[in-house]
Amino acid sequence: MRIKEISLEPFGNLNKNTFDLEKGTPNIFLGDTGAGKTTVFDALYGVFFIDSGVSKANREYKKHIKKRFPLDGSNVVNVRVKFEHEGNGFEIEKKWNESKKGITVLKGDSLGTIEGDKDVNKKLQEILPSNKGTFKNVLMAYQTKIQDVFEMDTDTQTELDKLLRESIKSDGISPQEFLIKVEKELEVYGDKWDFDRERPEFTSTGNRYKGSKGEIHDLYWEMEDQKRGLDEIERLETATAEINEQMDDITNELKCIGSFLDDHRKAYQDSDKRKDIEFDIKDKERDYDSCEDDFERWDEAEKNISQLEGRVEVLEDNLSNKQEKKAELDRFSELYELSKKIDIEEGKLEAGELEGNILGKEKTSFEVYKDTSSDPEGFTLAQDEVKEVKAKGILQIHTDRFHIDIHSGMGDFEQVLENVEVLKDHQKEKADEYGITLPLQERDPAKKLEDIKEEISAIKGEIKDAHKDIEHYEETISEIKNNHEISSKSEISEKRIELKKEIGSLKEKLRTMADIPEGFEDTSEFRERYEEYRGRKEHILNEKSKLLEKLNQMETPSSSSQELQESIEELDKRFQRALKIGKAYLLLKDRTQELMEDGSMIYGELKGNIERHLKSILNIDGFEIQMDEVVLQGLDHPEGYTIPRSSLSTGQKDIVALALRLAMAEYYLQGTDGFIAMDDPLVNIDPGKRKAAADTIQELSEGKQVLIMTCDPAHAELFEDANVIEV
Amino acid sequence: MSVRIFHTADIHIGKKFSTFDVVPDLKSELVERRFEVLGDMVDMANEHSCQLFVIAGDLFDTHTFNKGEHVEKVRSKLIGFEGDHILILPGNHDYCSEKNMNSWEWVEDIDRVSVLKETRPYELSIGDEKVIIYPGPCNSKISKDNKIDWIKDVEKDDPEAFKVGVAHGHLEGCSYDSQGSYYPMSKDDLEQCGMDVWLLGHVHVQIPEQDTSLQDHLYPGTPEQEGFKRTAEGSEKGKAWIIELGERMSAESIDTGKYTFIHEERTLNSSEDLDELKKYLESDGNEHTLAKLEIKGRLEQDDHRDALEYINSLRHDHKGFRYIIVEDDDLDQRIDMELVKENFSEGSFPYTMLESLIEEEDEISKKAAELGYDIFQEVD
Repeated sequence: MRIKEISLEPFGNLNKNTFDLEKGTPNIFLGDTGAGKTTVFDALYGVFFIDSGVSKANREYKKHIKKRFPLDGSNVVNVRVKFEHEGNGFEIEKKWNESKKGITVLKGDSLGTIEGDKDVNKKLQEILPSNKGTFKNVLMAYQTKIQDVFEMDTDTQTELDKLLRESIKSDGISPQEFLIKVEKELEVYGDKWDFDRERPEFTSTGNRYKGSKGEIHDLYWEMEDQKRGLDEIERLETATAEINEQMDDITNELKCIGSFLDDHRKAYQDSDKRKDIEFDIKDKERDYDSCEDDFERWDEAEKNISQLEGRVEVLEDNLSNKQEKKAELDRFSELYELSKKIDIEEGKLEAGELEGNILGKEKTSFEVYKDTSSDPEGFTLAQDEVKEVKAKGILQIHTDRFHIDIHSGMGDFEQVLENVEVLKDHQKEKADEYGITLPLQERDPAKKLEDIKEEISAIKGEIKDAHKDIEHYEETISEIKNNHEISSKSEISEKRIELKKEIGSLKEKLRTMADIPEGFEDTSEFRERYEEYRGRKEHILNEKSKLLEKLNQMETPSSSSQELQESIEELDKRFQRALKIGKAYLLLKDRTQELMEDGSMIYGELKGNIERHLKSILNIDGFEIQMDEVVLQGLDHPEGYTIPRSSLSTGQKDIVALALRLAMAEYYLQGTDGFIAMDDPLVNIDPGKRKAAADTIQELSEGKQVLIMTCDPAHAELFEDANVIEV
Repeated sequence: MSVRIFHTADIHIGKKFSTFDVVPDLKSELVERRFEVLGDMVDMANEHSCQLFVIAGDLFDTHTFNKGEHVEKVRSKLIGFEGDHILILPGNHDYCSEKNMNSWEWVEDIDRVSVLKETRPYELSIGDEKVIIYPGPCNSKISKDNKIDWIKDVEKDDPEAFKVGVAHGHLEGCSYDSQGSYYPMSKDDLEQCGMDVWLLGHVHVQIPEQDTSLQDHLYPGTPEQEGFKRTAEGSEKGKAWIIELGERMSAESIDTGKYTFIHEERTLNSSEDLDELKKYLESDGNEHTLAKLEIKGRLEQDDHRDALEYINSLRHDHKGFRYIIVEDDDLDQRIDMELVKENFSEGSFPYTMLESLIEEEDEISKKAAELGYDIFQEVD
């Protein structure tokens, strides 16, 4: 790409100026200060890189265009540039309007017409040899911009080699300076913040840092403090809520108790008297009941006594009968006992009877004595005659030849006989006495006698019991008499009537007094409850006063938990934002350091070009740049000494800067057409070196289009084939 | 026969509005407006011949309200009410406890005012009608338990009386209370109490959103919005209910508020987004709107500059809003290769740096690219 013509219609103080750039090389815009050299520079930059529709606030617009509006008040500036690219002719025109959007038009031989910034820019990207940045920073940079880098970096005590390298690598922006700025910002955000652990750093003693540190650190602790505050407020709010809850319960209870005590105060006051009266009534009612009971008891006792006495009479009659009967039985029994004795004795007699047969072997006579009292009976037995013989007690058989006495075992039979007689006589005598006919017709009376004895005993028992009962009832009556201090039953009745009257009168008295509330059996129960409540009320009031004191001691938070919560959320938002920025700066720092360590960037490729230009300008063969890898250490003089980097003079620095500039232009325009605009490139170079510098530029302009702005005609004259354009 | 009730809540008298003192007079205007709206509502209640004026909690912004600054001014507004009764329920902001009982007594001294501070029925006679109020007063800022449980058990033996529940707190499904700390109630709880209508407070938007004869639990919302909320709260003007209790209950919404608080979040990723924002903000009728704009996004260089200029102008002249605050910390310039190529030489340090960051695409890298670009511009 080569620029053929520049027309300004108007632009700055230049109006209807057309500059032909095909008359020689380099193109030198020559004019006094303020004549318009920089205006041409701005027009050229604007036409290629500043949209006609750009915002009026755009920084580049303000820098390059805004100040180029004519002083006559016109609000339009217009630049038209003709150029050639790959054999084709192009014309670009831009009109900037201060009050509205401007116009951009690109025309080309084979292109036709394109309008509008967007489409034109798209096409320009294909045509322009480098991007806007490269133009801005290298190809169309003011010379002073590169020199400024040296000055700036000298101020920051940076070594020249580094400056050189950085200025090349960074479009005039020093990574070192960039790093310093990033670190400064990182300090602002990340001071005392541990990005790896995402937490604040602590002092060596494990405490938090006091005072303001990085924004992340400060926001973190502000948030933590507020969170703690929030915890405290929530604790206070919860505690307050709990106390108020208790207070409410207490108040409700107090209300119930208070209302009970208020409602029943008179009843309570009356209840003392009421209690006495009630006691009286109770006593009297008890007395009355007692009278009534005792009256009934007396009455019943009397009835019972009467019944019992009647019964005793009957029993006694019965007893008498039974006793008579028993006497009869006793008598009969006596006779019966005698009969038994007789029977025994007669039994003995019977047992003493002897019986046997006498068989006469021959005729025999004998006498038989059957008993002692009777005379013998004489028998004669024929041979073989048998005589049955019976005797009582003694059987005496007397024959001539013998006497046989046979005695029974009964002993004294006579005595038995006598006994029987005596007994029978006695019996008869007694029977006569008792009027009982013998022999006794009935059997053993013992059973009957036993029965009658039992009956008699039972009757006696009953009689005894009846007497006992009578005695009991009499005692009851006596007790009643004693209890009531009365002597007659009518008196108790009278007392009862009296009591009833008194009770009635007491009850009437009660009716005039305040009632005890419902639900209470009696005044005592009521009074007990009333006093319990009175005590409870006092207790509750104490509790309440303690709670109130507790409540009063609690601090009232300056803000509510809700407000603080919102504030924490807001802080958190700020914290997250600061953290993000901090992390971003950290990333920038790391990335910058990585890139700074990476020496393989474009500097190495420039080394040869810089050396070549330096030699050319200094016109000293064998002058070499001393490099340590990519770092410029100094200039090796052919006479064998080295000018160390730190000893380079200002003029030498300018030469280095120019060499650098030309090398960069070559680098960026290699393999393509293009132009470089240079603003007074020789102005600070030693006069003795200017021609060599001009020749070096001239040499570059043979291959690449060079546009030079200068105010010094002598500088223009240094270029042999220059196209000098006076502005 | 019927009874007409004016139902409001959450007036927050005494709110300080400290964050608004950056604009002259705005803070005092907002503070004063809390009183004004009370007066306005009293006038509206009179116009609609309401017999009852019910404030369902948070008449005051804090339980430490004072007599001269707050109560007396409230009195001056409430005495204008021409109906029969004014009922004021302590809410969770102006809760009634033993500690501030005296303060509530000042309120009770106002003519026809009953402070519903006790959990008991309050019987009212309005003409021939009998209304029994069953309140759930708050006794602290927070509570995990509601205050209406007592109503379930109390005898309600007068079938002729209107039964009106008044409570303040969070109703399940109607608001957000993650911790359950604001006297949480469920609809079952309300139903079990057997009320004809529930007059609620605490939520600052009106619920339901339209007039109703079907819903028996009503939040009036705040009568005057009082801050920027992330939810819909604040974006609508304040409202209240006018409720008719008769054979059928009906509730009519009434506008009470003057101000709206808009909390708008916008993402600007193109000039069109910016144009839309301008269009949105530059509509008419915002003289009583306070807006908080959170703007984020990434814009190309010129759009970003335009957006920042516009934001600055918003901050400066408020564009017809009563007040506008813009947070644009997250509005960044889009740093892409096109921009890099435009500004830096290929292979240069800024070029290499920004190219590597742009390739990574995560948020930190994007931010780093933006910050790096700014520093490069600054150095340049």
